[in-house]
Amino acid sequence: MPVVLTNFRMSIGSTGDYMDIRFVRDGKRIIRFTIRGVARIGGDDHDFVRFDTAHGFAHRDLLDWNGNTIAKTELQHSTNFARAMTDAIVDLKSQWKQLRSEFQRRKP
Amino acid sequence: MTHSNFASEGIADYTEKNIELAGQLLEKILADPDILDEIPENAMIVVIPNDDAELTAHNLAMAEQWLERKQEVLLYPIGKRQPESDRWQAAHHRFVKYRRREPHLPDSVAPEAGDLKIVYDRDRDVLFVDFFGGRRSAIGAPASDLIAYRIDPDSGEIIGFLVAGFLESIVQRSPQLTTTLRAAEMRSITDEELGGLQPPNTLTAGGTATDQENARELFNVLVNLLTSRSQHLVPQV
Repeated sequence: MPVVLTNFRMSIGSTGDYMDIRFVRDGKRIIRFTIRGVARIGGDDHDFVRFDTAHGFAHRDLLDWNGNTIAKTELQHSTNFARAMTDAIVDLKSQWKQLRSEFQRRKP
Repeated sequence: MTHSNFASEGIADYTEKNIELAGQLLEKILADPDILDEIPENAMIVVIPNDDAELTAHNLAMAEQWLERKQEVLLYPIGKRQPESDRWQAAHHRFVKYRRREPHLPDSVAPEAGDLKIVYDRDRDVLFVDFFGGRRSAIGAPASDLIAYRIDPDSGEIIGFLVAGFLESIVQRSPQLTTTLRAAEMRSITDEELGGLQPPNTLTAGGTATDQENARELFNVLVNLLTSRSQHLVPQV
């Protein structure tokens, strides 16, 4: 069964912010997911946070304006995809505004 | 409209709610990855919570703005209210491709015998009207406080109506609509629930007229009801 990658976005706020989501599946099994928080700032889209299950554990990367990771945090339920997804959503819901503001303050 | 039409300051109060609803879809995908087959690559999904009119209006406005950015948009209806009519349920889509189309009249209503379908939900006092025998899926678009168009999302054609407060309000304004109930599938409605109304039989649903004549007349009565209140002119069929 070939590995299939699906990428889509979900509209979040009236500022034009959105989540960019990528699932990789092998048959009926999700083998990896990535959620990027994207902020619309000054007419351009900027990734400011990323949740990823790469490297065998679910983690959160805070990003700088060049897309480089400046801090990596392992999620609480890092090896269970369903619970890691829940962790990511809870984290995004509670911290979107704060992480976005901090990202804006890091503007070079 | 340009990119700058997105609000440039502050972050909407709906951000947290939208993330929560997005999370519900993502959890469903984890449980059933086949859902991904329904999502075109790089599509923008906009959640439409059918139990939150304010957020729905906000998110539909967002959908319009994504279209302006040449983004393919899928609406994802979510919430407590689910279609209850069997035919409606059968035609229900998980995602609806969003296109900017003004609601407009179909070339004809009830083109085939038996196409006029009317269901009256007594518990909710809601009338469901479909002019195409339930063959076409539809999304609801409020046209007034009590009446919603049912619009084919692919063509933009008005294929039916949802009328709330039917006995309580609508038939008071257009008494001839009471006779519509003669042709409706209804759930144990009684004469008492009709409130003893004996309006003139100007609407012939349930009489000797053809399905298409009944459908055309019902369509025009409902459109007139809307236009008389909103001054928003819609041509008749």
